[in-house]
Amino acid sequence: MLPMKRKYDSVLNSSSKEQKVLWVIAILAVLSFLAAPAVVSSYFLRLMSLTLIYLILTTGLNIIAGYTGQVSLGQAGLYGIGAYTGAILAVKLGVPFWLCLPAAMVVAGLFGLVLGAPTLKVSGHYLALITIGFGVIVEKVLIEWQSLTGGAMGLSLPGITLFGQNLSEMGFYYLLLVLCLLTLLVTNNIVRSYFGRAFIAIRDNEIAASCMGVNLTSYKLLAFVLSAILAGAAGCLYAFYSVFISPDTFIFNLSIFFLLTIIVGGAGTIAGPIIGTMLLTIVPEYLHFLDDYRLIIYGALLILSVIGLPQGITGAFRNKFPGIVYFAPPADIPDDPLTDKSYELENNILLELENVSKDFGGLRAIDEFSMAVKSGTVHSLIGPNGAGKTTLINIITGVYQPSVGKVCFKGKDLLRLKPDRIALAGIGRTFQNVQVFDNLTVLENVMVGAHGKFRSNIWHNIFRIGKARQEEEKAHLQAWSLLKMVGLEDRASEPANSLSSGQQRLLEIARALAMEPDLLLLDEPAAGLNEIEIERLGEIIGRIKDKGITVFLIEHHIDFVMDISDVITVLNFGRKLTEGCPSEVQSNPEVIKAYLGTEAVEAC
Amino acid sequence: MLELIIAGLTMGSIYALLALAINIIYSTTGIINFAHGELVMLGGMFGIVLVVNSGLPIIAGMFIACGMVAMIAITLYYSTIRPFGDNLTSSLGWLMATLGAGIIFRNVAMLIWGTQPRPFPPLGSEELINVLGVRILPHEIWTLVITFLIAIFFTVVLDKTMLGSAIKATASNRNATRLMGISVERMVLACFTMSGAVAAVAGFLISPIVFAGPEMTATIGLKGFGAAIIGGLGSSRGAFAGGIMLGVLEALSMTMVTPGYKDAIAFLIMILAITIKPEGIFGVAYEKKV
Repeated sequence: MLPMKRKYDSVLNSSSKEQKVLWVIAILAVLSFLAAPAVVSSYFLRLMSLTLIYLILTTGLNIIAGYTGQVSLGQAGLYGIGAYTGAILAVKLGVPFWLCLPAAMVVAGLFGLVLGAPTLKVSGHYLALITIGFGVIVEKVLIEWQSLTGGAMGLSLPGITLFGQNLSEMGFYYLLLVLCLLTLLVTNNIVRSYFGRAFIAIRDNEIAASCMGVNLTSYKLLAFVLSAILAGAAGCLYAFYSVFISPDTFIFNLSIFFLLTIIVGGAGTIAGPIIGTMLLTIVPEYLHFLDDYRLIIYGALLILSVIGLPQGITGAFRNKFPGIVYFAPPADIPDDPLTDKSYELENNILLELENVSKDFGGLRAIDEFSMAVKSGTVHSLIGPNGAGKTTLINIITGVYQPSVGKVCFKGKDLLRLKPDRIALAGIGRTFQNVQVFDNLTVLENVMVGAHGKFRSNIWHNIFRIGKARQEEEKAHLQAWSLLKMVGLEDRASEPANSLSSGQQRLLEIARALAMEPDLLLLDEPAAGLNEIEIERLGEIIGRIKDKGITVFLIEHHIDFVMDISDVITVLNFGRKLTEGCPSEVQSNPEVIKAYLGTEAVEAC
Repeated sequence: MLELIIAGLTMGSIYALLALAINIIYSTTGIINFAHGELVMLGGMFGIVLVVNSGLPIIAGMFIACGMVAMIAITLYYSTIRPFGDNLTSSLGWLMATLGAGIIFRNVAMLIWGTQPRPFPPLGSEELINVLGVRILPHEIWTLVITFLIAIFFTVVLDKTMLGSAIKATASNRNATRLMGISVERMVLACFTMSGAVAAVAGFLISPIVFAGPEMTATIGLKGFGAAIIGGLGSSRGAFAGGIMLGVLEALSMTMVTPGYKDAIAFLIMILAITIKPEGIFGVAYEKKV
């Protein structure tokens, strides 16, 4: 009893006023749904049941289209697959509803896996076309495969029996309500776990996500499968609910309708699909005189909402009441977020590049470059603009594959590994052009960095049991502590794109440190920072080094580099000019020539 | 077999005609106009009004329809694409907006003209002629020839003229293009005008084959996108080849399955093509820059 009470207290104390209001609204909404059958007409009850069925689907669609940012216009196809799986099992094999439902979810989930496969290579309008094509294929097959689906004539289903009795209209409504609440709860728990953060990270910035250790392939597929499972469940429920299905229900227009609900409501929020689905299912019932114009209105609504209200109704509310997103800081933030990484390596070499070359078309950006980064040092890479410094970081982190050469980290070959594998091997990075996850809060950005530290599986997170909760707590505390270290703790609840570019650079460092890397690659961290911030950056790098974390730094502020570095490598035109301690490099005539030019050198 | 191939060539040239117009917009904006099928449909419906109802000669009617659809294409640009500013590839708002516009066009057309498909006069005589033992309408040959000429026209414009360079510059970097003294707005408008005009021509060429009605391009429109992607977005050659290929493959598949599966096969081909080679036959794949 005691822990329960403490949890309750902490919810109350750690919520902002806006969040408390939201809780009240949510509880009132659930209560009115519970009480509805007692007050509304049976016609309206049917409408509410349909809304609940749609809501299961749109909540699923929101996972893939809203959170993960992969537009699916084939959801009606998955819905149809769910409906027909349930119907065919019930009609042809006499399977009871309670087994049809999971079967429909499994079958639709498998199709979601197939539909998601192309996302490994394409996204955007390509994906839109693929999903539209998928929907049309399903529609045609449902019509043509008459022996199985009954063709255009459709299929009639038996009702649901419960304890030997037929389920009444009201009984069905409550069944839908329970399943719908369950769907919302499960979805909410997933999107608020590290799974959900990975989804949003993919939506906001794929390359940064993969450099944080997020496996793009499996997370995109997971999102597709989750949304397909829910579409399948909704389809099966619809089939048993309407007792008759035919292919003309599961058409492209329905897919657009589903997408419209989440756009209007607000994609990427739990409340978005709820608001959108209720609005677009119930309101048209009061506008029957407009029926001839219904699709025209939908079309206009689609245009108006993407232009005028791109984040939907919930987005508009969030902009109006920013307090809705609020993370209370933990009671005491630990001062030392960094784990000790000092250990002995064979000949002390952490990272080794051997004869690496990289061609872009006819241009040789990196030319037979070799370098060894010693463990525990601050190793800087300097060179004029266009020398190939960032290309080198992209090669190390797997964003680019070198044309020839070898990259070894802790004695392991990194070649042909995807960025997420390299990130998990212990290499963290920041980006020259800042790449934060714009729509995640500052705190969540850092927590994405901790992605690779999570071991709990999706079931742990759906039910928020032990392991998942502990890991989340730990990552949360570490993120706060890292934010305190870079001085951003009072911006924790704000979206990352509201920070200045200098602050975003510091945020990127905190995010990379959350990965607990052995090697930290900093690509021009001081660019856009003012003097005080640069001083702070120097302190941070000092603290990182003290913990035995190796730093590989690209920077143009030469004084800063000279102060902080143990070793400096100079790169020019993709080739290594020289390497050595700061004083050696500073006095090297080649370096002076590369930076300042000589009298004989041609004008740039 | 030969009959199937010729039928496939006819449908293929229609897909190609759509793909070419889709391409010209892609060439300058980097986006796909998801309402393009509906522009083609409007071309056909204007044809009904101008040629069938008002008795204008086909060619005169086609010119007027070209102008009208071009105007609608420009309106479409201002209402669904322009509001997203320069950075079109960063969100998919334009995709939803053009889809929405397509829905509006189709349903307004239904309100005005009803859903019943109507016959449409073909180009040339209505007598079948004998080509290699297959009896076809001269219209089908016209369709192929006109599509081919438009493909050549676009290839020349895009690859050999200053205008083409300016159009492609607009797609790759709008600000840099402006700094070169090129009006980005005019380039985009030029492309939407061309795309609209070609859509109207397509409407006139398709209508005699599939009948004119608000739903006439419901699947043809999507296959036009498929053709553009199979050939490689941005390449007129690719659009032509992609269209013909999709048409012929679709026709040949009819030897294996019943006609009801025709659309399903065409979309399966499209999905496979996108998945296996998203840059298309004539496109070039680039490494993503960070």
